[in-house]
Order: sequence, then C-alpha cells, then structure tokens
Amino acid sequence: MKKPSRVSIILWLSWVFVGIPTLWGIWQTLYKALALFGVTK
Amino acid sequence: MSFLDKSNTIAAPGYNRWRVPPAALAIHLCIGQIYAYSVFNKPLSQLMGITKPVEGDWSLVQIGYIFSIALFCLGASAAVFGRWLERVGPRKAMFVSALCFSGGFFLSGLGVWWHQIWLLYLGNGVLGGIGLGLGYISPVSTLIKWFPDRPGMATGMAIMGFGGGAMVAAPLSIRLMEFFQTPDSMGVAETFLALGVLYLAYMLFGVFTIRIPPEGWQPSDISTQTAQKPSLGLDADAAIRTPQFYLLFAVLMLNVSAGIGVLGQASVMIQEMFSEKVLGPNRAVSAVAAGGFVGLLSLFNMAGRFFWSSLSDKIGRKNTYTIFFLLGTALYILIPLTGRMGNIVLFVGAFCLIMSMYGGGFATIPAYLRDMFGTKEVGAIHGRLLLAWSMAALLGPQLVNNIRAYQIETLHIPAAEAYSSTMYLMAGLLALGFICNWLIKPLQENKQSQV
Repeated sequence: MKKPSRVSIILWLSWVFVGIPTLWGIWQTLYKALALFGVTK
Repeated sequence: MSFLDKSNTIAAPGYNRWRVPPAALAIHLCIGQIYAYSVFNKPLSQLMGITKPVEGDWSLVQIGYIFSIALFCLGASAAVFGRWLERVGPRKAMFVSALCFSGGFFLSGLGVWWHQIWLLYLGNGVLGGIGLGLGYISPVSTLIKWFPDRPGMATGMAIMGFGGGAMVAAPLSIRLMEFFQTPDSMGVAETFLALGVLYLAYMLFGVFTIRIPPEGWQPSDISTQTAQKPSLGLDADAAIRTPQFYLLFAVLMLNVSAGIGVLGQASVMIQEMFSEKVLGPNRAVSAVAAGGFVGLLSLFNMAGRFFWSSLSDKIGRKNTYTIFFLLGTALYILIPLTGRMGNIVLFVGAFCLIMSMYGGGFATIPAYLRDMFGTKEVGAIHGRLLLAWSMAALLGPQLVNNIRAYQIETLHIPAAEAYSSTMYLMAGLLALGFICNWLIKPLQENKQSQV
C-alpha cells in the first residue's frame, strides 16, 4: 500500500483542525433546531 | 517579521491548493463570532446586579451599539485597507486581523472588569470591526486566485465558515460563561479573555498556512479550457468608476437588507404568526420551538453559502442572483398567506429557502466581482463593496422594526397580521434587486474601447 506523503498528512490535519469545531457548531445548532419539531426541549 | 511579507507567502511548485481553504476557514470561523454577539447581551446588562439589572448597569440599547460599531468598522476597514491588502499580501493582513480581533476581546475584558462601556466600543466595536473587515476579505481574494476554475465554490467555502462561526461561538460562549460564573460575577470578562486567546491561536493557524499562487499560476489538475476566464483586470479605483460596481453594490445591499431585516425578528415573528390566538393552545409555537426555528435558519444560511456559490460556477452569477430575486420575491409574497392558512410547514420551508439565498448572496458576490473586474485587485474591490453590507445591516432591521411598531401602535393592527406589509416591502426590495441585476452587463462592452 502507498504510504501517505507528508503533504497529504498536513492537508488532512488542516481539514480536521477546522472541521471539528465546524461540525460541533453544526451539531449544537441542529440539536437546538430539533426543538421546532418537538424532538428536543 | 519578514515571514509576513508577500514574497515569503508565494507557494512552492507542487503546492496543493486544497491546503488554502482550511487557512481561510480558520479565519472566517473566528470572525463569524460577531453574529453570536447577542449571547452577551443579557449578561452584560446585569454585570452589577448579577441576577437582574440594577441602576448603573448598561442598558440593552447601550450594548447594542457594540454590534453596530463592529459592523460599521467591518465595512469601513474593508473599504479603506483593501488596497493595502493587495499590496502587502494576505498573510500580513490576516496577522493584523488576528491581532485586532483578539485584541478587541482583551480590551473588552478590561472594559467589563472596570465597567467602562467605551472600552467595549473600542475593543469589540472598533478594533474587532477592523479585524472583521481585514479577516473577511483577505482569504477570499486569495482563494479566488487559487481556484480560477471554481471561484464560486472556493469563496463559498470560506464565507460558509463565517456563517458557521456564529454556530460555534454561541454555545462556546455560553459554556465559558457558565464555567467562569461565580456568585459575584457573570464570568463575562474571563470569557472575553479566554475567547481572545482561543481566537488568536486559531487565526494564527490561518496566518501561518496561507499561501498565494505564483504569478501566472494555473492549476495542473484542470484543463485550461475549464478555467473561467475573468474579464479585464481593473484596479479598485477604476472599478468604482464603472456603473457595474454600483449595480453590484445595490444587488448586495438589497439582497442583504431583505434577509437581515427579518432574521432578527424570526423568533418573535413565528410566535406571533402562529400564536395560541391564531392556532389554538395545542398547535401554537412555543418560545423553545421558536429558538429551534432560528437555529434552523442559521443552518440554511450557512449551507446556502456553499450551495448557491458552487451552483453559480455552473449556471453563472447573474442567473444565480436572478433566482435569488425572483424566488425570494415570490416567497415573501407567499409568507403572509402561509400565516393566514396556519400552514407552519410551508412558512418554515419558505423562510429556510430565503435564508439560504441570503447566505448565498454573500458568498456569490466575490466571484461575481472577479468575473466582472478580474483578479487584479478583487480583494480591494470586494472590500469597498462590503460597505453595502454595513449599510444593509444598519438599515434593514430598522426598517422592519419601525414598520411593525407603526402598524401595531398607530394603526392598531393585530401583531399576527403586522408582518404582512413588512413581507411585501421585502418582496419589493428583492424586485428592485432583480432590476439592478438585470441591468448589469459585462464590462467589455463599454470599457474595452477605453482601455
């Protein structure tokens, strides 16, 4: 199997670095939004 | 500090351009915090009373000025420093943005500590606003240069981050305030300091990783035919002397005014239009459900930024805005009808679509500017155009609030029906936007002979 290059590791880490807070923010908002349908309180 | 120089920011051969969007997102995710600033309204208004506001506490009107000053400084700094950004490159501009934005939190933290509101005006307002303006345009102009084949998608990604920033900042700020709260303190000052440190670290990641392409660079993974050729490369001074600039200014301002005006009213609006009096006790929309509605709008606002700007790469910017204006007008006319029908699903659906187009308008405009004026000084031109946003942010909510107040207080119209004329006014603004967009012609037709 081809070993991932240093560049592609940096690329993935960069996306993970910005992706984690983004997904957390989306989840928090989605959870709040579910109250509209009576799913959450 | 030569590390910050433009010459040291040029990417080496073989650099993967997909490393640039995370750098842009790191900046936009932080500065998007401004849209969540309202979470501080209540705690800031009872810093002395702790459990309730007492004499000497700041009023909500006084606190509201912080947001207004920040948005004004966003537009002003983007307009004033746009050309400086083009000259010194994105890294230095992003570095200054990071210092200003986080410095604004440090200064505001001191303001809370000493209970001096002018420090908050200066901190989160002026300094933060300058950080917002520089931070908003720097990554966008860089991404446009890296993605000549998909400028809409590239800028949509960054500007989507701005929408996402509020989603991160609101729950994060609430958790931090809960963590720092004591019986004698609301924990706001400590939260400001913590946010300042966090945002500085995060934005510096963007500063360190941003790169600009070498002169004449073209992506290797696309054929040159698929790269969308921009029109003439005009500088910012020449661009603002064209009618196209003012038409685009009007397009952005009208699209934003129509969206931002109702965004601030969304929670109250759904509760009044679908109240117990209108629908009966079992079907009325509660305050919690209304909060969920606002959350849903934020999600569509964010998603629309990526979806519509990416779509604009396929169907063109003018067609994309034509959809915004025509569909938006129709939806605004439809909304009062959904209220009268008591159809909440249609109401929510219409607003979600409107909010996606509101976000899409922000995200598609840089690519529209690039198509029209080229990439030469697109950051500076974008900066000047952002004054339209500042103006809309100040005018839009005023328009909606005043019309509503006039109808309820002077004309004695029931609250549930008071929104109809507001919706028709918003539809009118979008119809006007359609005309402005329709009048926009490619620059070559009347400019080429002069060049």
